[in-house]
Amino acid sequence: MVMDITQSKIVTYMNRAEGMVHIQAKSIILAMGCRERPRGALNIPGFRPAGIFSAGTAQRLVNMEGYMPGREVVILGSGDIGLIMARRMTLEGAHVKVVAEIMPYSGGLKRNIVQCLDDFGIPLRLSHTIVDIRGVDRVEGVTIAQVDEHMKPVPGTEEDYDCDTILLSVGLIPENELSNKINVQMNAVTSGPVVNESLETNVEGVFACGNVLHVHDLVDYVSEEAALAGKNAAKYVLGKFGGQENSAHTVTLEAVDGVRYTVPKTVNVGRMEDTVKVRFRVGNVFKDSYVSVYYDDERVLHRKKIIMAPGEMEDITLDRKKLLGYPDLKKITVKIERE
Amino acid sequence: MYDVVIIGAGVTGCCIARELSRYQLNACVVEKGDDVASGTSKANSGVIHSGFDAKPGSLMAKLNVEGNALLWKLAEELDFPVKKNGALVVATDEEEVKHLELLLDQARQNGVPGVRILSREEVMKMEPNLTDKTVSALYAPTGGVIDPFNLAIAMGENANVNGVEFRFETEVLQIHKKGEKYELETNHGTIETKCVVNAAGVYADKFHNMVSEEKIHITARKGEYLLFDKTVGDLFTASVFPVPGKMGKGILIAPTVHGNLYVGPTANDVEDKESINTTQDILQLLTEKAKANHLSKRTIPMNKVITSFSGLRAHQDKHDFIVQEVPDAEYFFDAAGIESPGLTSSPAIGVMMAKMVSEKLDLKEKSGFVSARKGVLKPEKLTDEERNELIKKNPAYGNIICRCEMITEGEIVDAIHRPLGAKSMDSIKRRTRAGMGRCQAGFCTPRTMEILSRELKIGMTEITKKGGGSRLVVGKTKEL
Repeated sequence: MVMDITQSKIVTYMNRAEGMVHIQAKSIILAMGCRERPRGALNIPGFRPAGIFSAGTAQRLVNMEGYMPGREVVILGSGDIGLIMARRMTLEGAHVKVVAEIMPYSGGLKRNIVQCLDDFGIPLRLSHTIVDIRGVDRVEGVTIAQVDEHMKPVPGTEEDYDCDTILLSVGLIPENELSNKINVQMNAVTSGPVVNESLETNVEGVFACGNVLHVHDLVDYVSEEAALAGKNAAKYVLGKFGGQENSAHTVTLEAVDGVRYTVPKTVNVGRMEDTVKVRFRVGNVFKDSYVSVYYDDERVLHRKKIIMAPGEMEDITLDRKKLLGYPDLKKITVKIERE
Repeated sequence: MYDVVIIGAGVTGCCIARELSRYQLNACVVEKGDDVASGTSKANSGVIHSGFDAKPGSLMAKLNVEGNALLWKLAEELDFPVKKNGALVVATDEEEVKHLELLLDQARQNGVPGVRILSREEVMKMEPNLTDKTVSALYAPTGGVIDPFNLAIAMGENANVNGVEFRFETEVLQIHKKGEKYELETNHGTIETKCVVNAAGVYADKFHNMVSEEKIHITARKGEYLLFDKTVGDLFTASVFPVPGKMGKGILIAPTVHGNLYVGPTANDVEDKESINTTQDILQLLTEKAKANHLSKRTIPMNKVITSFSGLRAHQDKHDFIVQEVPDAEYFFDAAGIESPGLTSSPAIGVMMAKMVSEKLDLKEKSGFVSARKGVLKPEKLTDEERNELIKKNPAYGNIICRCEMITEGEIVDAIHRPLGAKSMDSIKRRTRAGMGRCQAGFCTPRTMEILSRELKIGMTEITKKGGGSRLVVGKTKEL
């Protein structure tokens, strides 16, 4: 495991066989993934008994170790791992009583809601959260309540559920502790590094990909991103990574009106490949709306989508040939438009 | 039959056990939890109080100042983490400035070394993140922070090495005086002893009142906390207190000895002495306190909260420690009402109680008392060369189990196999910090369970969070 990295790209790792080893890298690819947000981060009140697991911990216990975390389950949060574990636990003979989601929409993929909850008759309670956990030794029950538009529990809406297990699927946090050690610039929305079209961070020769960059919905996109980071890191090491001379052609991407962020954040037109995929998430559920892309003030894309939701990543593709036709372009804006 | 049975393996009971273990005697600590420090001792501010706050002339004031002086030396002898970061009481208006004078006078009467009032300039230089409203501050250089678990663990281990027996998951249900001895009825049979030391925390009144007509009353006063990630732990260097109020020393924003930041504790009296739950209203209040953060100019990012917890202070009606042989119950000793600054005072309580008990029983000091103890080996404190040497000898030290706190398999195995070794997840956590970091054991839980299972030769389904009925998994998959 990597213990430390420095600005001068010395990587320190440790394992059982070699002990502590320092290596001088020419390039570093950040691919540390993400961790699950724990109960404590949500300030859920109540006792702290055994039987409260993050969905990923439960997934490891069930799928890899072959143990059941419990029999009567309440799930908080409707992230994809939580939804998948609702199905898994049900198939293993547990009774999943309810999935409570504090937001008015699910954080997971639509297909997971259908295949993991609806198909098994597991209720999804939107705008609900856990307001109390009972049980001193082992979980004995929870109270869930409806929340208002400020996500504050509404008095009088409390419902008690008896259960021995609580699974939490309440968000994933990119693990950027190492990135912070070398002052990689962070995006406050993704909690991941700010990168350019080559997935390079503000620290030259340091690239990022996967869930450490931004939390993904599908592994396919992670693989694509990883391949690109690898390719560019290799170019960098070989001295074939076109750099600063083209910086005049750098265009900034701006995410507004329902678009929460874009990865990448900047595009160096001189260095980009024929196309660059720009991934983003929306901040709310949008029905019959348009993804629009503006080159400065000119709208160049207006694509209709029947539905867009925060749980599903969206993307647009930038075309190098087209961008070369806009030599004075400063800013590309990605937004959601109603019409 | 024992010479002495101590009820409770909290920090008080463990300090008493350690000091008594200097003598030739047959002693036992009975504890209803599965480990030392599993009640109030595990859920507090972890502050080493200098002693300016206690009422002059009180036992609290005396033992606080004595305990503070003892702790720094003990930390070296018994190898537990402390840091002398100093304490500040910050005044933000003229009314509060007057209060600082009172505290300064109290500090002098209590014999607290080095306490003085700092001007705005002086204190801002020391703590640049303090609020611009700072007028002046009381500074106590002997204030500090401590790992509260490892103080109790170190004392308990050392007592055990020196011959004191510990019986865990053993709850005292009733106490009878039978002739020259006491009989303690427990969930695991009857224990006979010449002498009882009652160090039962919030339950000390229950045991006292079983043997005495002069009743005492302990109220459980709950304190709730928010704990923040180490990335915001550098807000203040010192423990920063507001000017104290009626219910205690007020809500602090302070660093822990390990570099986290916490906000708390609140103070609310509760009926149920098992109610160590956090509550919605109080967590909301703490969140608002942290956001408003009136003692700091920097805001604390609320997305850096990693956990919340609560503890119960053993508040005695007269708000002083009771360390005594009970007047109408010979051979029955109380260490009761040990609320803040109980943690700081505990080594001095141990010394005081050991003196009383040893005189009463006419105990002789033993030869060969082992006064030193080494804590769980921390590879992070070694040089690279030393660390590599260690890994070569024992590869488990090259295997990180807890990523957030960078705790190795070697440390966890050490925690399991030492005296009073860890038997549950929480007891490993308190000894090593595995699972105490920002992911709160999400990643390391299954791995730590495997190590516990392997080292203790028990099944995965036997592994508990904290003993008793706190099992983590209920069975294998594919079996119903």
